[in-house]
Amino acid sequence: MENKIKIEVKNLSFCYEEEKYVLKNINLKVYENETVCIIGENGSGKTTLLLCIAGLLKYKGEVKIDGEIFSEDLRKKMGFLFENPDDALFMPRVFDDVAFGPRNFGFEEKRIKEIVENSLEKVGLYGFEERVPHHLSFGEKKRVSLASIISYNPEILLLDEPTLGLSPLSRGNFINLIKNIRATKLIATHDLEMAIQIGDRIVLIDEGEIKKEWRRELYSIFF
Amino acid sequence: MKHHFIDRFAYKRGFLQEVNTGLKIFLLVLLILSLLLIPEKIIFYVPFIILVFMFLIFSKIPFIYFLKRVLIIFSFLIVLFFLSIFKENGLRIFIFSFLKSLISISLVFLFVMTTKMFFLLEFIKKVPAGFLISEVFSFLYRYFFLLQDEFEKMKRGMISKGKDPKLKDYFLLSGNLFVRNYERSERVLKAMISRGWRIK
Repeated sequence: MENKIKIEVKNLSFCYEEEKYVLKNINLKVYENETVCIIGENGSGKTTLLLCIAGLLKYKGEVKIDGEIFSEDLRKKMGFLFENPDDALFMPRVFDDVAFGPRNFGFEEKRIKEIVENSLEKVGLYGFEERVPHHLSFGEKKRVSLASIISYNPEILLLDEPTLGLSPLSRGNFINLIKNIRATKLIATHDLEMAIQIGDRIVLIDEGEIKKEWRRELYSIFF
Repeated sequence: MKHHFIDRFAYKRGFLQEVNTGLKIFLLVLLILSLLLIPEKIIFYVPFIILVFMFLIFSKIPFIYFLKRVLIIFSFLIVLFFLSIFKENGLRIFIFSFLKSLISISLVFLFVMTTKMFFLLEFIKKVPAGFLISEVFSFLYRYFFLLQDEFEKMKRGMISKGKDPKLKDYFLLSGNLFVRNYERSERVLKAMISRGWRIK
């Protein structure tokens, strides 16, 4: 494992209502190309932590990406996979959904078609460009969502419950897809089996605090 | 859940499906304009009715399905036309307004049903001020079916707990749907921002 710190979270706290903290003083370092799985009860703050790191919520504390404090210019480095793919697929065609990120991040228009085709090929949906998102199955929607973020080659992937709602076969395929993407990955999940399978580190979050951390070297002895 | 996509026939192979969207809209405008300008004699309307039927046959749209959709819209108009009967020369006005609107609505339906929604939205974008309209319609088209699904799920939930929904329950469900979709809109906005979209 390389030692360059990719994400550094310092004293991060977040509250939706005054005095009711969802995240309390979180400190976390994620290294380059490391896969960290965040596990915890429903409402423990996993998704909120990912949203804070992605700069989608306003928080107290500090989040650094590659040593720089989060700013809009750093957004291109991050891809966020939402729990419900219907939230992430908002365009009338699969092509436009996958092209949405590259277009906003200033990729050349003449390259977009190629980028979309490559991204869809990577998730096994080559030829789906003209399809309409609401005609797709849940598993296909999940894969298109993934294609829509890998299309702009983010260095960091923030994945919120990537395997939720998938059939055992689709789940297995989806885990393989995630595993094969070279990026720093932070995954919020209830899927312990997946966490053990692909996580270099597992972090337990409870009541908005990091309670425990296990490294692969430790749990790979048992599983 | 079964949905009735307005453009479901656009994915079939047929005569109107093959025509370019721009040309189709030009033809539609031309046909509706000529319909407005022709003299008020039944004989002049016959070619239009034949044209509608030919389009239906060659575009492989089931007649009953088509008729049901046209009549839903038409039922709102017929009340207005019916009032004209009581005017001087009212029956004549009623008959020709009836024919003109029925043919126009049929043509619009035929053209929309055989055009992929995406192509229609892309065309609207090219019209002045069409960008905003196109964006709004694309969201409407994308999320209308999700709203329908969510409403159906809530209704089934209510029925499964032994409550047969009455009018006031539908209001309750609608309120709930509004709150749920307000939350969804926030999540969609987050998804857009995370992929580089900025509020302009």
